[in-house]
This record gives sequence, C-alpha cells and structure tokens, in this order.
Amino acid sequence: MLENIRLSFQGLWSHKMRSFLTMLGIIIGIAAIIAIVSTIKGTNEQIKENLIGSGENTVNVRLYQGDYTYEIDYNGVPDGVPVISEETRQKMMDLKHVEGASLYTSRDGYNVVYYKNTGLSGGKIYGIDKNYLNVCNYIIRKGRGFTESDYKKFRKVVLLDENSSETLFQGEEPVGKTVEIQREPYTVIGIVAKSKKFEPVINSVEDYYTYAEKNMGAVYVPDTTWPMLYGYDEPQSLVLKLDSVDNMTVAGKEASAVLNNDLSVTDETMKYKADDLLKQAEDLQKLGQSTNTMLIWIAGISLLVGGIGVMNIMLVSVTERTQEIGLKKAIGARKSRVLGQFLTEAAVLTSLGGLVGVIVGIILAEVISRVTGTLVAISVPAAVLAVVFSMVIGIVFGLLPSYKAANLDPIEALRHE
Amino acid sequence: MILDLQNIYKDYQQDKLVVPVLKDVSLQVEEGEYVAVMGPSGSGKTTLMNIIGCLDRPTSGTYLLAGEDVQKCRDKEMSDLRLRSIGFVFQSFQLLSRQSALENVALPLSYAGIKKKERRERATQALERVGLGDRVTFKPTQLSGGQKQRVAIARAMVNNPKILLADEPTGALDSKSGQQIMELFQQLNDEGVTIVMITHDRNIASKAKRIVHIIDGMITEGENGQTENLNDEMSEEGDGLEYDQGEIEAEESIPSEKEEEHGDGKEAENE
Repeated sequence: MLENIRLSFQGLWSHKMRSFLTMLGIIIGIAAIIAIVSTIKGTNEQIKENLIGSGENTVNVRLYQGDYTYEIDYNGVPDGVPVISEETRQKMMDLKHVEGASLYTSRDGYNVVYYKNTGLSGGKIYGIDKNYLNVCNYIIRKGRGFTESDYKKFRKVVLLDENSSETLFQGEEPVGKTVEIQREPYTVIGIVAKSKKFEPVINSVEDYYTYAEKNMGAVYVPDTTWPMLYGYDEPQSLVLKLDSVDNMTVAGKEASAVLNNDLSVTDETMKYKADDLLKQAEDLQKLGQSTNTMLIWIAGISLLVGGIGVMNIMLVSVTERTQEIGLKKAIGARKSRVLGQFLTEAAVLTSLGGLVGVIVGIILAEVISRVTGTLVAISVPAAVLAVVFSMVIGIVFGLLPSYKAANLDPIEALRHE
Repeated sequence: MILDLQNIYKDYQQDKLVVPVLKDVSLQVEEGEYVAVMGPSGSGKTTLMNIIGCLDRPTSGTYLLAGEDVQKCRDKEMSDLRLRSIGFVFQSFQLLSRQSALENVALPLSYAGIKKKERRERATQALERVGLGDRVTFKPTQLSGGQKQRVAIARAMVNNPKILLADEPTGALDSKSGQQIMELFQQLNDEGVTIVMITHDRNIASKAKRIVHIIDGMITEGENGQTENLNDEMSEEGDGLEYDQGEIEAEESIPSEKEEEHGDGKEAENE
C-alpha cells in the first residue's frame, strides 16, 4: 500500500501539469464547499449569538393568546389567570437546569415616563421582584439597588437603564432626581446595566428591528408599587436563569407547564409559553438554508465534473501505460494488484486535490469575511469530511479505468506501442 | 519434467472463421535443458510461447508446468505461476523507464510479497549475476541495449523461476551485444537454469542444446545431427550475424516473403 502511494506520487509528479489540471476540478469544488460551509456556520453562530445574547442563559415565560403575547396594555387584565405566587416561583427553582427565577410585570413605556418635559418615547416599564436584577445579570452602575424596605414600604423608587437615563437626562446626573411615571413621582435611586455588554452584529433590516426595541430604554420599579401605577396586581411573566443555553427549550417547557396548571381560562389558546430563542435562531437559520443548499448542490456538480475529469485522465493514463501494465501482469502481478495501483493513484490525486481545496476554501472564507464583514467559522469536521469525500470521488471515478487496466490482456498489452 | 505439453491445440477466432494456430503440439522439456523453439513468424511460435508462459490457454490439450495442470488454473493462479515459475525475457526488454535497474529487477519480488530490505539484496545479487553490479542505480535510458537486456534477464531470474522463457532476446540488439547475451544464457544454463528460447534466427537457435522447429503450428523435433548440421551451416556462412540482423529487419517489413524463405530452408534441412 505504502509502495503504491509512493509510486502514485512518482507518477503524478512526472506529469505535474496534467495532474494539477486534473486536480483543479476537485480543488474548485472542495474550496467552494468549504467556503460556503464556513460562511453558513459563521452566519448561523452569529444569528444564535445575536438572539440569545452572549453568555446570558435566560429564558422568558410569558402569557400568550394564540401565537401572540397577551398584551395587557390593550386587552386588560385577563380573567382566570392568577397572579403567580412566591410559592410557584420556588417551584421553578426546583426544576432541573434552573439556577434562578424571577417574576416581573411589564408595559410599554410610550409617553408615560417624563423628566420635566422630556419623555421616554418608547421602551418599557418593568415591575420587578427582588431576584430580577440578579437573574437577568444586571449590575448597579450608579446609586443603589432596591432594598427589602423599598418593597415593604411601597417606596416610589425607580432604576433606569443606561438608554433611558441618557434619553431622559441627557447627561444630567439622574440619581436623586424625580421622574414621573403614569403621573406618579418616582425617585431615581440608581442606574443599572447588563454585567456583560452585548453588542449584536447588525447585518440586515430584520436584525435592526430585532434589537432596536431593546435599545429604547427601560425603567424598573418595585413590583409592590405596580398597582399604584396600573391599579391591579397583574399576572406576571417569569424569567429563568439556566445553567446552559442548550437547556433553554427544555426548562422553558417545564416551567410553562407548571404555570398553565394554575390557569382557569375559557380561551383554550391562552397559555404560558417560553420564548424559545433557540428555536427562533434555528428558524432564522433555516431561512438562509435553501439558498445555501442550492450553493452546495452547485459545488457538488463541480465535484462531479471534477470526478469525470479524473476518470478521463485515468483512462488516458491507462492507455498510455498499456505496455507497462502488460509487463507487470506478465511477470506475475495479479489483477487485484494492478487494480489497487490505479485506484491508489486516483485516490491520491483527488485526496491531494481535496487537501488543496480545503486550504483554498479556508482562504476564500477569510476573504469573504473581510469583504462582507460577516462572521466565518471554519468547521474542522467539514474539512476532514471534504478530504475523505474527495478520496471517495477518486476511488469511485477511478474504478472504471482501474478495472480496465486490471483486465488488460497481457499479450495484447505487451504488443501495444 | 518441467514442461510437459500434450496434444496442444490453439484456435483463434477471426470474425466467423476459426483459424488453427497450433495443431497437436507436444513438447517435453527436462530440468536443465536449453531448448530453442525455431520457426518463421506466423508459424505459431509466439502462441506457443504465450501458452508455455501461462499468458494464454490452449484450446485443448494438457499442459503441465512442473507437474501443475495449467488448464485448471484460474486467473489468479496463472499470475502466481508467471510470478514464481517463469522468467520472461522479451525482445524489447520491457523495462519501466522511470525506475532504476534495481527497482526494475525488484518488481517481481514485491509481487511475491518480499520485504523491502530483502528485495534490495536479492535484486542487487541478480544484477551482479548478469554483470551489472555497478549499474544498479542507472535508469534504463542510461543503459545500452545489451545492458538493458541484462537487467531484464536479472529481473527474470530474481524469483528463481523454473524456466527462463526468452522471446527473440537478441532481436533488438547489435551483433556484439547479442553475442554477449547468448554467452550469458550459456552461463546461466551451465549453472543449471532451464531455458526455452523462441527465435526465428538460426544462428541464435544453434546456441541451444536442442532445437525444436515449429512450422504451420506443428512441431518437428530437430535431431542432434541436424543441430550439428546447423552449426556447420553457420560456420560456413562465417559471421552470419550481421547478415541475420539485416534479415530480421527485412522480415519485419515484409513478413510474408520471409516466411516462405524460412519455410524453404526448413524443408531443405529436413530432407
């Protein structure tokens, strides 16, 4: 076998130009596939990262009516949906993979938050429990957080995130100032921010809309003061902190099931559901899939053409070396030996092509990444698979020529000039 | 007995016509013999050589090679017989031009599954045996015709075959190299190697201890006396080698004419 490989290299080297041109088909095919796969993988990872946020393993469980979240703003407080108790929250903590659980209520903040004459023209108002900041990885940037007594004594205190503080105060020092929420005066006691700053990569209009909402700013008040703003204790949403991104779907489903148990609604479609970000990411990835599949097919066709080129050149090589084959058979080489020799040669040729193709593909992917600014992820298994696959191409397309060589009649072959 | 051919027939299919090439050929060769099979081209001697060399099968008849019935062998076993029992020497040397003399000689050893180190040793020995111990690394293109044929003989001998089968071994050589090759055959035969040589050249054939004539697919065994006669004839012709060389070339261009000439010569001898 090693002997055969050595001989193959010798044979290929003696026809450098021809070998290279033959390999070119394979090189182009494999390079295209590697470049496409790397770009796809990069894009997919970007989608996932954008949606889920880097390293933030939280999942939201919200009330849905049909396929849409239930909007208390427009539909009012729903009947038969109880306020989630501290007891239920504790149950959530006992679920597998759950590291933290928090309850919150929220409303759109359009034209309800003011500092003097400046209003927050978007964003959200959150009524949060004691666990929220911790679960959602917020840290206090300035001032202080909510204390036990803020909750107990229904203090009208508010935390701002950086966006809302920027919009409302425009550089002024916010801590200690009073803002108006739903015409109620609230004292700003601190500024919060995500412990890890996450900047999504915006490549498309869709990306922009996905993240724009988050950038409108948010204000947080103790959930005990929520009825002062909106009149009722409303059913909350739930946010869970998990041990890993991959468990989002499972834990989200379990938590929803627990909450749905307590529902006594007439509308069957009214249910708690987890935002399945993993699934959303996959859906987005699928959108691009069809184009990518087509590209891979095209690259596959180029591989097929490359394979036919290999077959063609191997047939030429067999004809050229008819006499050599005749001699080898005459002096005692078995059919299988001749077959093996030519198959090895074809496999070496295409494997080499595959290897060069992988390298060219990686370079191509890097270039694409530089030019378009998209993320590119080189997949090692794909690269290994590509080389193995090109070897298989060599063997498949080498079969016919090798078979022809092995079955040459030595008498005829020796006479061949 | 090394070779035992009994009532061998060989037909070729030409379109719808069946052309008999060998007709009831029987030939026995003992170990250590040096036999020349002589005949004009078209006489069937090449077909006979192909059958002896296990490259072809007879249409009917039995062929025992060192006791083994070749008729019963399958393709794989035929390959193994060619590998281990037969050493081929061809008119046109048939060396692989990209490989060194050593690699050429070692080729059959690799088919026999012998380890690389032993291959080198045995191939070197074989080259030394034919007087090319100092040319092992040379490529065929760097060797003269005579040297190429020596490499080919070394390759034929390297697996210690039961017989050395030579097809016009001097056909592509000048007279001097041809003579040296014939001396080498003589030397090998003296060492006990069985040789079967196919030739149309009387002078070359005369170097063998026994001559078998094949004409129109039939064998006529040459008697000792005739062999001597041949030798006499050759000596009368003096250095007939040069003449024969020309004859070979002429034959290749107009074979039919030559056949007749040879045929005539043969008849004269037989009478």
